[in-house]
Amino acid sequence: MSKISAVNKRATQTLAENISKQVEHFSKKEVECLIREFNVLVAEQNNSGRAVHGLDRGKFISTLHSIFGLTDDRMTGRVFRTFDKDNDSVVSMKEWIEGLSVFLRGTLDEKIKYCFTVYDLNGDNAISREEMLHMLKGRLIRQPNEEDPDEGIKDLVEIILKKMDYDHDGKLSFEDFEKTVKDENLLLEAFGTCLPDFRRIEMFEGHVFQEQFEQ
Amino acid sequence: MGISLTRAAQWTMVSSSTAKLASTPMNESLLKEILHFVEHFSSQHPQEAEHVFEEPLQWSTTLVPSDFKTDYDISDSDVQSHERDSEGHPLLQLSPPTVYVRSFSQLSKLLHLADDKKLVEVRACLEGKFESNLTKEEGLSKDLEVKVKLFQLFQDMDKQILDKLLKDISEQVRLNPKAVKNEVEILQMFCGGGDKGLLKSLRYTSDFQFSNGYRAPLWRQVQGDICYLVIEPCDTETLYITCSTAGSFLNGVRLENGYERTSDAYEDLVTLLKSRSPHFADKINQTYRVLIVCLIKKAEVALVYFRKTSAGALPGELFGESSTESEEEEEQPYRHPETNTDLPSEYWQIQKLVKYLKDGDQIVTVDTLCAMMDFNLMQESCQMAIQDTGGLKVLLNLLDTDEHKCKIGSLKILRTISHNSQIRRVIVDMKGVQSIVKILDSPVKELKALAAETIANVAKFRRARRNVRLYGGINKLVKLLDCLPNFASLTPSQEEDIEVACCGALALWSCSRSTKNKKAIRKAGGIPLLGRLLKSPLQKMLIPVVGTLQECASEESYRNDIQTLGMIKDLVRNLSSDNDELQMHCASAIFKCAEDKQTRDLVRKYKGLQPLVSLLHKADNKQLLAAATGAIWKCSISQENVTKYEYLRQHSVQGLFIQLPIMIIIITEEALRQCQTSAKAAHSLGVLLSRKQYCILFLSFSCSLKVRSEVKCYMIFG
Repeated sequence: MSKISAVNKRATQTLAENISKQVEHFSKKEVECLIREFNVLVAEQNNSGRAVHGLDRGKFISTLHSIFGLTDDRMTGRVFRTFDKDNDSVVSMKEWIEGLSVFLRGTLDEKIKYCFTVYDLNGDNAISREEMLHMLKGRLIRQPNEEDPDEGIKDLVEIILKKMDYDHDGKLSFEDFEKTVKDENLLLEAFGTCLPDFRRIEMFEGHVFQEQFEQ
Repeated sequence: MGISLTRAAQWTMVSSSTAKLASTPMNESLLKEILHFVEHFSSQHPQEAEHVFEEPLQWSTTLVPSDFKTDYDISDSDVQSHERDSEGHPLLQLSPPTVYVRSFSQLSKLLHLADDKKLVEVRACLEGKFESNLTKEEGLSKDLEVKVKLFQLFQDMDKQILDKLLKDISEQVRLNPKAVKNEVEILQMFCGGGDKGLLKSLRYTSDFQFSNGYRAPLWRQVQGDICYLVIEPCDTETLYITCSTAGSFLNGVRLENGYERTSDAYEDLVTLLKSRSPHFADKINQTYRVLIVCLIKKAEVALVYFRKTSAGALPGELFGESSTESEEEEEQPYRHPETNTDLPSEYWQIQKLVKYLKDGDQIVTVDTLCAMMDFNLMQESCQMAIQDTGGLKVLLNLLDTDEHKCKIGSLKILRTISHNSQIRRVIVDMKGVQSIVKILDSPVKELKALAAETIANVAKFRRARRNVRLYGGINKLVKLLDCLPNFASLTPSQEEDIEVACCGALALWSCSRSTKNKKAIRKAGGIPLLGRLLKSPLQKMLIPVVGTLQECASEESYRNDIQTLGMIKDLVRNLSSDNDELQMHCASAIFKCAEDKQTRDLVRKYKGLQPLVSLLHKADNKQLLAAATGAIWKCSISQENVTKYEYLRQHSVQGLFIQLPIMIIIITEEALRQCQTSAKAAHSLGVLLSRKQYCILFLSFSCSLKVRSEVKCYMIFG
């Protein structure tokens, strides 16, 4: 057993070394920890009988729920699609670490790119009015005597569009979005929560990177 | 001589080519100086006096051949001096009425002969033709030496004359348009009403006023004329008066030259009128007290009030800024929501947004808050819309949630709308202060900064300041000041800490207007932290820090700490900053702290007196002037400082003192009391107030003007 874990350990280290050269913000040791965490999650997932070399959609989303506190169903699916860069319905180890680099320690620019990708539902490099409506629907409580609370949402979408659409083409290009967020950081997650808040980040980092001392 | 004549003398154009020296007091003075110079030239500089001019001085003289005695060849029509030049030409030749003079010694002799007509001769000489004789280069080297020496002598004389003139000017009456306007306005109030009034009528001759306050035509302005008045006294003929910078006098409107002065110049209208109208002179005695009050209200002054305590005079407030509890923001009755339907469109839009805030989830809330920020929240209509639609309550409720983006958005809005005094009060009513103070504990730096900034805006009235203290806000705010920046190189995290500290200082500044808060800040250990931040080079940090210190410096414990912790040095250093507001607060702080002798010595030691005096040049910033004069005055309690002021005055760099546009008058209760009983004293005070361009008055006062001190009225830095 120890022989295998020694081999595993070395393999992990080599992998970590490679990955840390390609991914921002994490040291080699930290990548090792993330790999270990990944393996734990995959093992949990495969306990139920599957044998997948990565995190499938279900496992990933439940991780987002439990560890990162992201519970908005409209968003979690999009987060999975954004992490899964090669679109093979599985988040590989590398994709996991790359995604976490933005999740946990992304610069504003990196986060802007990330959020835009999440919100661009059809991947056409623009956030359209329909996409905004889809993402904001149902976020207003319906009052008694009120016919359609989404009237308010439609109105709000128009207001937001007017505010953010700098090139006046009826949709938000990346530049529109970037400019808006740099002007007012609060609008980074304007259409849904897709990043963990700082408390969850602290907890996760504390838990995962603590293990490097325990090893 | 050249400079004196071209710049200082007052010329009138008689015709296009000839100019005459106007007969003004200043010209008289100038002529006397020149006369004095020339008369003594021969005896003081015999060698130079013999130097022969290339071109003669020539002018139309009043002298006749019979006036000349020995040393001259006199014929019926002609006089020639025995003294001749190397070519045999006479050095003085008189061909009536023109005289030609070619040396100073001859000029001297001529003036001596002129006897009591000396000044006339000097004037005529200056009005005559003469060219600069001294710039021609030919001649023997000995000659050249003499020429150079002459040139130097003239330069010295020029300077002497100018110095004397300036001295004369500063001692002389100087009227200005504002002073004239004040006096006229006041006198007009007492016109009419038959015998009861001071005068029958008083009016300007011209309705038009130039932008500089003058009414005289431009070519007369150059001569010093400010305006012309027509005054009908109750008991004598109509007076036609010119008010000029040299005083008020009767003019020759009835005569050929309407602008000519036909009487003495008086320092003000009242004195002139008293000399012409007995009725006026009688009545004015009774009207003095009212006159003073009007002048005090109308004159443009910065008033510094002192509040007396048992320990002696302590500065209370500075003009325009309310410090202690006395000048409290009035709690106005609440304005009720608009009931008419004529509301601006922002109102309806904001009402809609408030609804989204109430009904939306976190994402919609943040989006809505951002949309709300796009309105001009400094506009009262928007502020009132937020309040009237229940938005204020929603914003405050958001502060109690766990969503830090919602809190950030809400505070950004609250921070701005709390500039509105009614909204401030409603925030306090709704227990908003408690929620905001709690946020000072947040680990998110942006939240801390925003909360502190909001407190800075809300704590502008007493109840709010008390609330901040009661909810433990003072301690939390003081904690925000605790950052250890190395101002030379700052990490991004440290920059955030500095931003937080700036906001904390702003909040403490607002809160420190309450005496109990001053004590609480000190108890929380705020003073050393403020002292540490005082070393910062950042103006946005220094202004609230010094603002807080000067606010609290009314407490003796603060003054002690400021001095013992070495903050005087930093305050003095910042007197030379390029920011008026910062300079003003530093000067106020020094003003308050200079109550203590050691501080006065420290100010001198750190070379603070000169920068304080330099601040007096900021003539258009009354608050700054008031603060600087206060500091200068307080420091002058120490004799060594007065000596230093004298030293600075004598060795003034670049005319530091000469160019001062203001006169500082320090009038104490004693002087004011005298004004109440003595009409003469009152009039003098009134004149002083009205005629100076800028007056800084120090009035020691208590409600009933009772006398406490014995210092008399004196003037410094005239």
